[in-house]
Amino acid sequence: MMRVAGRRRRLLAAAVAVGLGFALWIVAVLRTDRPVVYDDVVEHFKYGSIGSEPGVSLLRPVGGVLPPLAVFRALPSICGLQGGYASFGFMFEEGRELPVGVSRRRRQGIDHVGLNCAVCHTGTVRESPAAPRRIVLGMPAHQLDLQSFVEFVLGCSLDNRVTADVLRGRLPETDGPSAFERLLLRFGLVNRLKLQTLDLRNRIAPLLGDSVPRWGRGRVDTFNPYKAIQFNWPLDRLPRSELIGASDFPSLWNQQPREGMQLHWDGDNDSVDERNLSAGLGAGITPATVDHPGLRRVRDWIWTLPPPPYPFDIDRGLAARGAAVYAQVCLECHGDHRFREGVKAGSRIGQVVPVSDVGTDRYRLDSYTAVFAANQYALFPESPYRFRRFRKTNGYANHPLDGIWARAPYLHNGSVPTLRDLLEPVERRPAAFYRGYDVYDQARVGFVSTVAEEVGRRFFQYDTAVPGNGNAGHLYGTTLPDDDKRAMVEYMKTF
Amino acid sequence: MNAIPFLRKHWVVAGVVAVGLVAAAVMYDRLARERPAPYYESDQDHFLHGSIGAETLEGVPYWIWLVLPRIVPDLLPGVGGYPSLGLVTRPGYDLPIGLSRVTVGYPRVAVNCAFCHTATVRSSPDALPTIVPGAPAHQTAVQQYRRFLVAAAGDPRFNATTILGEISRNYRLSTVDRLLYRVWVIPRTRQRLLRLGALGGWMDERPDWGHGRADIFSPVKFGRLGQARDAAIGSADIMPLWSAAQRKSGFFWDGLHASLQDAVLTSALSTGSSRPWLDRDLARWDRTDARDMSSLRRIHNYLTTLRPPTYPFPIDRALAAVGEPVFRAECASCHAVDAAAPQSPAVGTDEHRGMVWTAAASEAYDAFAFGRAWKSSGFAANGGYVASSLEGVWLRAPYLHNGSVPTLADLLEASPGRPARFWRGYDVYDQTRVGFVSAGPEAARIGTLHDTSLPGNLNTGHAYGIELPAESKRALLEYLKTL
Repeated sequence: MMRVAGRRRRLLAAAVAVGLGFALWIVAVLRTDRPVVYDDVVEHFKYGSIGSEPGVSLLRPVGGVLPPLAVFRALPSICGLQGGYASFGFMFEEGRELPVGVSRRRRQGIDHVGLNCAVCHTGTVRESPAAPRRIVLGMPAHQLDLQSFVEFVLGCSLDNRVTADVLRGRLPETDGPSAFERLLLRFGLVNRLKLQTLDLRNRIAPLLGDSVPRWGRGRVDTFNPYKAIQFNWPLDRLPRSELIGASDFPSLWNQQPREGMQLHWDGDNDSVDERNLSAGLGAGITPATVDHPGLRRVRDWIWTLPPPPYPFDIDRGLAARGAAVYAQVCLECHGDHRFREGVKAGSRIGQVVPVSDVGTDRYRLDSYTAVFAANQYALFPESPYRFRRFRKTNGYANHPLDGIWARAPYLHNGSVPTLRDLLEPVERRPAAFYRGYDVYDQARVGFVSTVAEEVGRRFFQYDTAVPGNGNAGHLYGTTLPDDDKRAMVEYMKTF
Repeated sequence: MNAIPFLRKHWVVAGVVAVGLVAAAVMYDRLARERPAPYYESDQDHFLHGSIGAETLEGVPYWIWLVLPRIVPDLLPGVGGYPSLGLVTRPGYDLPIGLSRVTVGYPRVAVNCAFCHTATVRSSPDALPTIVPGAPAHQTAVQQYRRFLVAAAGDPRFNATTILGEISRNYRLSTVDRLLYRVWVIPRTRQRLLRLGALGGWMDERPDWGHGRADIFSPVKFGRLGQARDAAIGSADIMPLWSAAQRKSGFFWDGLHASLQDAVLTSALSTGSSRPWLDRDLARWDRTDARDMSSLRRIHNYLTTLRPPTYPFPIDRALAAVGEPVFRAECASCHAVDAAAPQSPAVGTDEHRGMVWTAAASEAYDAFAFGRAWKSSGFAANGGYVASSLEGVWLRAPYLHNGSVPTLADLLEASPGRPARFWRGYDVYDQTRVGFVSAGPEAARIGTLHDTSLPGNLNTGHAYGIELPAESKRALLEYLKTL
C-alpha cells in the first residue's frame, strides 16, 4: 500500500512538473517579440521590421494586413497566382525568399510577415526591354499594384482551398514554423485568420473591386483605408466622392531639408517624423505594435539618402540653357537642382497652392477632411508620438524636385506620364496611357507609357476621364516654345 | 515546539492583512484618487479645455470614450466619430473643445462650458472653419452626444472583451488596470450611463433638441432637484456668452438670474459639477494666483472680458448707415445695446420655455443648496422673455429663443412666411439672409430638422419690422451685421 501511494505521489508530482513546464513554455512563447535584425541599414530598409506584423494578443491580434509567413508563402500556389507576388510588381532579390518590402518577425510564437517602407518606396528602371533591371531604393514603387496585391491576399486567405490540412501539407522542409505554431496550425489558427481577414475586408470593402476607380500600379489611397482600419468608419456612409483618393507614391530620399515643409500631396503635415509614423499605419503598424527603433533607423537613413543620379546621358549644354528657362517658370515654387544639397531656392517651395489656382484634380484633396484630422490627433495617445501636426488644407503643396526623373508619372495623381507631356496644354497630354512598365523614355523623361503587357505582366490602363484621374491644371510652362521645353526637361535630369 | 504554529498563524494573519492593505491601496489609487486637473495658462484655454468638476459624477473613462465610436459607429448620426455630432476639435488637440480630462482613479472625460458655447463658421463649403469661443454652439448636437453614450452602454458590444480589445490597439493598459477595467470600470460605466439614460426619460416625451439647442433647466429640475415631471418644454437656443459684464438685463432667455456669477453657478450645476467640487471651488473664489484660483472664477473672469465677434465678411457701409435709423425706430426701444431691456410676456413667441422654472423648483433648489457657498441669490421667472441686446447677433442664428427662425431676413417676415421646416447645425454662412445655410443636401447631411409645428418649436410672434418696405429690410439687415 505504502509503495503504491508513494508511486502515485511521484506520478502526480511528475505530472504537475510537466504541466508547469508546459505552462511556462507557453508563457515564454507568448511573450516572444523578435524581429529578424539586419546590421546593414540598407538591408534593414529592404527587409527589416517596423512593427507592422500582428501582435499584442494571440486570440485578438492587433495590427498587420498580411497572414503569418507559412500562409503568406503558400497562398500563390494554392490560389494559382500566375507569376507569384512578382506579378504585382514585387521584387525578389537573388537568394531571398521574401520580396523587398516584406519583413519577418516572430510574435506570440508565430512567424509573421509585415510590410515596411520599402514596399511602396522602391522602384525599378530599365534602359531598354533587354537591359538589366535597376532597383532604386527610396524611389516611388511605380510598378507596384498594391490594391490588387491586398485583394489577392484577402481573397485567397478566405478561399475554401486554404485549410489547415492544405497548409500543413505545404510547410517547407527547412526554416519551417516552430512546434508551437504547428500546434496552432492544427488547432484553430486558420479559422482565427479567416475571421481577422473577414473583418479587415469588411472594413475596406467599399474601396475594393470596382467600387471606386482602381488605384492601379504606383498609386495608393493613403487615407481612406486608414479611416476604416484605425477608426472603423463605416465607409459606405461617406459621400462616394470622398472615397476617391488614389495618388502616386512619393520618393523617400533627402528628407532633412523637407522638415518644416508641407508634406504629403496636399501638404497636410509639416513634420517628417509624424508623416513617417502615419505612413507606417498604412503599412499595418498600430500605436500598440509599432517598432519605434526600427522605424527610427529608416528615418535616420532617408534623412540624408541622396536622390539617384540620372542613369543615362545628359546633354550638358542643352541642360545649361534649360536652367535659365526653368528659373523663369518653375524655380519660385519648386526650387532647383541644388535641393539635393539642401538649398531651398524659391520663396514658395514646400507651401500649399490653393486648388483653385493650380487647377489639378481635387479628389485627393477632398479625401482628406478636417473630421479625419480631428480623429488623427488621438492616435498614439499618451505618448510623445501623439499626432499634432496634421492640418486640413485647401490645395496641393509645391514639392522639391530632387530625383524628379525617377518620380514619373507626374502630378499628385500620376495623370501625366512624362515631364515633356506635363509641359503641354491639357488637350495635348495623353488622355489614356499605361502605367507600371519600367523601361525609361529618355526623350520625354518618364516611363514608356504605351506598352500594355510584357511576358504575362499586364500594366495598368490609366484613363484620365475617370473621377480622380483628371490631368488638368498645372499649366505652367505649357506656352513655351518647343526648344525651351526640350532644354528645360534636359536640365531637370540633373536634379 | 508550541511557538511555531503560533508564530506561523500570526505570520499568516499578518500576510493576509498586508496583501489586503496593498490591494486596497492599489484600488484606491487606480479607481478613486483624484489628481489635480491640468492647468491652462490662458483663461481662454481654461474655458475651452479646463475642468468644471463634472468628471467625478458624469465622467466617462477616457479609454472607453476614445474607442466607443469605433466599436458602435452605427449609433452615431454620421461618419467620423464625435465630430459627426458637431463637436469641434482645435488643430493638434486630442479632445474636442468642451471636454475636459481629469484623473479620478482613471482618466475621465466630462463636459465643460465650452461644449455648448463655442461655434464654428465658414464662408463656403470649401473654406476652413473659424472657431469662435463663447458663441452659441449652433453646430453641436448636445442631446445626441448624451444619447450616443447611453445607447452605446445599452448595446451588446459594450462589454469588457470588446472594449479592452479595441483599447489594446491604441494603448497598453497594465495588467492590474486591465483587470480593474474588466471587473469594475467597464461594468460600472455601463451602469452609470444607463442610469443617465433613465434620468433623462423626460427628454423622450419632448421634441428633440436638435443641433445648437439644449434644455438646461429640466435636468436640474427633474434630476438633481427631483421634481415631479410636468409638461413644460425647456428646449432653447444656446446663448452667447460675450458682453456679460455690460449686461443690464437678466441672464438666460427668461432672465432667471440677475448676476453673471449666479448664471455661471447654475450652469455648472446643470452641466454636472459635483457638490463637493463646487464647495472646494467656491472656497478659492477670491484667490488671485491663476494656478490656485477657482475654476469657475477663471471662467467668470474670462467672460467679463469676452467681446462679440465682428462680422467676418464684407459689409456695405453705406447701406448699413441707411439701416441704422430703421433700427433706432423699429428695434431700439427693446434691443438697444446700451439700455436695460424689458421683459415682455406679450411678444407672442412660443410660450414653453418661459414656463420651465417653477416656484416649487426654486424651493427645492433652496433646500438642495442650503448653506453652500455656491448657492445663487435666487430665481426671478415671470413667464416672459428678455429682449436681450443684439451684440454679435450675426453669429446667434437661428433666431428667437427657441431658434425657430433660421435667418434675420426670415425673422423680418410674418410667421407664415418663415420657413416651416429647415436644417440646423450646418456652419456655412448665408451672407444675404444673415444666418446659417439651412437648406440643401449638405445642410441636411450635417444637421437636424427643425419642425416649427412641434410644441416648443413654434416660429410665431415677434412680429416687428415685418411690414417694412423691402429696401428698409435690406438696409436694416446690413446694419445688424455691424452690431
